[in-house]
Amino acid sequence: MAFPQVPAHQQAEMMARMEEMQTKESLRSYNMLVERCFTHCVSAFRSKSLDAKETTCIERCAEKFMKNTQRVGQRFAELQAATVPMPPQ
Amino acid sequence: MSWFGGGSPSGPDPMFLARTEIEMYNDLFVKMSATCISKCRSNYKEPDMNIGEQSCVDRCTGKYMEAQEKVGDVMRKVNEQHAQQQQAMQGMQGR
Repeated sequence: MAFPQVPAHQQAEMMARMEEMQTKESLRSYNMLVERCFTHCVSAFRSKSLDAKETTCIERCAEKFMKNTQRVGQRFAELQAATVPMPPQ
Repeated sequence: MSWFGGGSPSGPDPMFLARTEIEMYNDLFVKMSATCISKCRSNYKEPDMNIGEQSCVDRCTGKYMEAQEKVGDVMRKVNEQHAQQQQAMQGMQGR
């Protein structure tokens, strides 16, 4: 069972809730990323659109942040697996 | 503009999707306001915005929306790459 503390007949509902949480979290993270990268990369407002330098900066910022998040996720999963004992079969 | 390009028939609850989309638009607006205010204010001496601050905010919102699009493209690209890597790894393990 994916969620040992939840009874069998509620597993599907728990899975749906988890997907909802993941969707919400990825959108929240998207907005946070835009704010962070914009704040870091854009300082001048001479025109209404991004210039080439700002665009490159934002794209690199976003990519680096996402790859960071993925790597942290991998390490987190590894560490969780190491500390949580396997349930008895 | 929608974050959700249409899901499967037995996919997530449409009420949840609609609510989430509204919340995220609101979040975007709040963040954009705060960012542009802090980037564009010149002083707190007067309550009215001067011409410089006004045009700065106009440009800031334009740039912010553009940045939103660019970051969305990057996220999609990185997620696709990651999904492909995962599939490749699972394919190798399956053998």
